Amino acid sequence: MIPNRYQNAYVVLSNHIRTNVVKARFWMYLVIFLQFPWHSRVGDDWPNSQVSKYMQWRYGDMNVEMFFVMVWSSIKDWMDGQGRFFPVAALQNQIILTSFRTDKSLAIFYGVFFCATLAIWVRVIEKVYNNKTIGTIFLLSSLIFIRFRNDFEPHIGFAQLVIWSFFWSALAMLLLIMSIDTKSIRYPTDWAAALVYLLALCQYELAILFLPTIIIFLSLAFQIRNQFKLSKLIAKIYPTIATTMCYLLFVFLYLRPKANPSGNYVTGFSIPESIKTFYTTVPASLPFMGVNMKEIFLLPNSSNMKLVFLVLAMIVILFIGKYFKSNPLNGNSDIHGNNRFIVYPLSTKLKFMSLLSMFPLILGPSLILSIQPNWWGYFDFGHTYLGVFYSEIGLATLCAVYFFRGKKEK
Amino acid sequence: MNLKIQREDRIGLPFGVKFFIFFLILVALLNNLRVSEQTKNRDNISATWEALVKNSEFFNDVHDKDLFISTTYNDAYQINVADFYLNTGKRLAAFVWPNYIWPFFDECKNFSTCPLENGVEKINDWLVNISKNDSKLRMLSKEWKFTNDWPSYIHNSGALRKSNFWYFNIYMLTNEVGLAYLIPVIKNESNLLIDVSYTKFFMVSLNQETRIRPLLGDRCFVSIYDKQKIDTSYGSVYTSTFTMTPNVPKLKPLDLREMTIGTC
Repeated sequence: MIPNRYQNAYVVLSNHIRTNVVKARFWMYLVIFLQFPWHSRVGDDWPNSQVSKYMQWRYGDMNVEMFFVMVWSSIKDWMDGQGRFFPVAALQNQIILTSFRTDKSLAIFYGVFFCATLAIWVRVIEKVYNNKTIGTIFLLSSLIFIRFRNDFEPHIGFAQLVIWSFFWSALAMLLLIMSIDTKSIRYPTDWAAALVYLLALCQYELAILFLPTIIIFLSLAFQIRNQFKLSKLIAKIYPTIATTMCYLLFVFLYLRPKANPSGNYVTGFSIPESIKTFYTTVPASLPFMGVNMKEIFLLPNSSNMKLVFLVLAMIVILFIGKYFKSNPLNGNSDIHGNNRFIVYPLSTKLKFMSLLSMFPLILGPSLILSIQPNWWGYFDFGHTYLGVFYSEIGLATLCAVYFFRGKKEK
Repeated sequence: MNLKIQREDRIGLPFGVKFFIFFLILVALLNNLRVSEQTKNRDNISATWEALVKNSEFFNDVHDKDLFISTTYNDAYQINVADFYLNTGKRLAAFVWPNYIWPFFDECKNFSTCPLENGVEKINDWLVNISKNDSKLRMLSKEWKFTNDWPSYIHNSGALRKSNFWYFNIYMLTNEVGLAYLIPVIKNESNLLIDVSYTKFFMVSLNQETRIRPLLGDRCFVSIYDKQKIDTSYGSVYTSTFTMTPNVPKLKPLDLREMTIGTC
């Protein structure tokens, strides 16, 4: 039996953080951002990163018209070849890769965008649970779960394809949840959210995993506000479902039959192989997975990296020292003052719904890998995959929801 | 409930829990830094490439439509024909990986039994494949009236017969020293040979004190300029250009697979 005080560790922590939430968040975003500019793999995403240069070499010039020809040809190649439709990804990565020509500028942009995306997600969970501390605890948890990878690197590699799909999905969720608290522009906001979610699907089809999360999050938000009615939920979600259906019909009834999918885009199922792929990939987002504990405590070789290490270590020590310190009176004061609707701790039902809402993000990527025969036999416990970022976010969110208990409102 | 929370607040987080959270964060950060450092190696080769293409004199003898044969070019590291054009303004015909042209390139040990025959013709045919691989891009380009596709032009005009071929490679000699070389190729139909007497080396070091010089066969090369400091987007580097000592007997042309590089 774990002693009660251990179970409530995050409660106490959350109270302390709450007192200085802006500062705490600033330090956490800084720690996350500082890890980006030192990466060098940003330009590795051949051929995406080089296409605009190649166009210049092949055709002697590169102008706006040619840029769109290039992007269109890339979209058309994927549609005709594999039956995939991701025009937003083609446009997004070429705009970014054409705009930022050096690895350093690209890495800095990626760092800023990553933090902005996290900030949107923080806002989403704050809105859903109507509590800002949960957002801060999520950020703290994300420091534990967000880990850069050696093989398929979703945070900075592949032109941040996965991060962008997450960004659009989170933005769609934010719009939907914001519209609950808005009276006047509710209907247009719901449709705007549906269109933004369509952007997420057109960025990377894995964003489909967010659909159940959106639905459960919405019903959670309604329940936390004591406004839950199935008809209300359906009215709010149907534009998103309608656009998703349009996307799915277009891809599966029009594009796929015409295309010749190969490799990763062919599906299949085999009892031993699919199950093995599933259980070897699911734990990838857990702490310590794939981490070489012997090597990790050696100091970096390059002097630049040593400097980064020292700066980060100082920030973390300061952060830990300051925000983990016991300060009961301040810690217990609710500076956000926004817990009007909810009584904490969350009821078992709401906790269960939270767990359910994160299942698609945590388990979905592995499930999809397990039905792609091309990956069978490829993974062991050390390998990762692009969808691991969704799992990291899912686990960090669950930590925030489960470890936060807060205090009961009158 | 409130009393309980107040009591918990007063005692604060137990040291063990604080330590565990700190440890988890530390492991994640260290892991991320370690991965960053592992990818850092590519910065040095990218810095070498950037310094090289910024150095106008090294490629003085290279002209538009010339062709580089290279075993170390790497599209992902920006070491490619497109980046070369963007930085030097010289529009090469292509960078060619010899294995594309002669599939036995790496396996063959006895070079006399597997000469690099019909280089010009085979590379010209390969250029058609470049165009075919991007057929959709080409088709679209025609629709949009972009018909001046460079590989197709090189192929159709027979430009390769008149242009020069170069054997070019770039790699890291040590963690801190990058080396590139450029050697004219003699376009012999029966075998491609390199004229090593006209070899140019370009060395990039991260610190000024590096005193390594390149060695080709038994010839030690001399620097033709003082070390130059060049600012790259990866930081400052020190560059030296080397040629063979003047007034020494010329070396016999070599099969490019026989090329061995050392340091002195």
